[in-house]
Amino acid sequence: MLGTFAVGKTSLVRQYVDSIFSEQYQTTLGVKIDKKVVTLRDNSVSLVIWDVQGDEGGEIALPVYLKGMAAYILVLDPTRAHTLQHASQMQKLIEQKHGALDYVLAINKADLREQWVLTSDGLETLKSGALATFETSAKTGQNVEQMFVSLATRLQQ
Amino acid sequence: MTPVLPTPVLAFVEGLSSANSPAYLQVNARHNLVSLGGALARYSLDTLTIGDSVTQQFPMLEGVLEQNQQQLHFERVQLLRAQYASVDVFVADGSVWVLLTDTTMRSQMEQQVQQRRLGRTFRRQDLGLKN
Repeated sequence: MLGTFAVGKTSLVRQYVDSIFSEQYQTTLGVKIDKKVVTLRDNSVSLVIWDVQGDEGGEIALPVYLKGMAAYILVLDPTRAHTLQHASQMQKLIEQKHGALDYVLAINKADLREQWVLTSDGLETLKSGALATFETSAKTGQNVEQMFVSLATRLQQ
Repeated sequence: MTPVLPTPVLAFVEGLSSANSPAYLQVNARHNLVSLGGALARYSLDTLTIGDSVTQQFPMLEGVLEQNQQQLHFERVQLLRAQYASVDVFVADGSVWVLLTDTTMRSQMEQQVQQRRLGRTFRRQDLGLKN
């Protein structure tokens, strides 16, 4: 899970793994690791999810966390326009260092649609490089399961 | 010649080491657990089974063991709620050694500092949007 701070990475994971949402903002320090087994038709895939600390910019505080990464979910908060810039920066950085890894784009906080300030500048580029784009809400659970399942399906192929 | 440490210094060093709750896992080339020891209960790793796949039992190592790098250091890994560890991975003599040390106290302090800093930034950005 990658993206700048307070975009909802941890909340998305908690919603997906534990079906819990908290309004209280709690920053992630370092990395939190979770596992969830996804059943896809006849097979099951183990998703090991690394929820990585989001910094204030488009940097990744500790690149060692990305070692062994198979794919990633890039999260942005459309109520804060600069989170798109940071997500684009991060995506480029990952491509430079790790090659063209698969990623899914999560436009989170779909429940706050009236507060969205995102413009299409840069968004289309990120969308076009992504396996899929989901408008998610960690609060209501909208598209959360679908997003992780779509990534698991891709990883299984 | 090995230096002999004065009793209070030795007690301090021993105290420091036990406070850090060191633990280790030894993993073979097929990623099965060969041996283990130390304060594993601290990380809820005390029920691991020797001979079984280590990545099945300790998912954090999935993808990490394949790196086959001489040494990897993972700082501030939250293994359980509100509990942090440093995880070091060494490749030596045909085995992978995974060493864990508890960094909870230091990490919790860092987390609080970061919470305040990012909370302030978040509020500033929020105000900026509204003004």
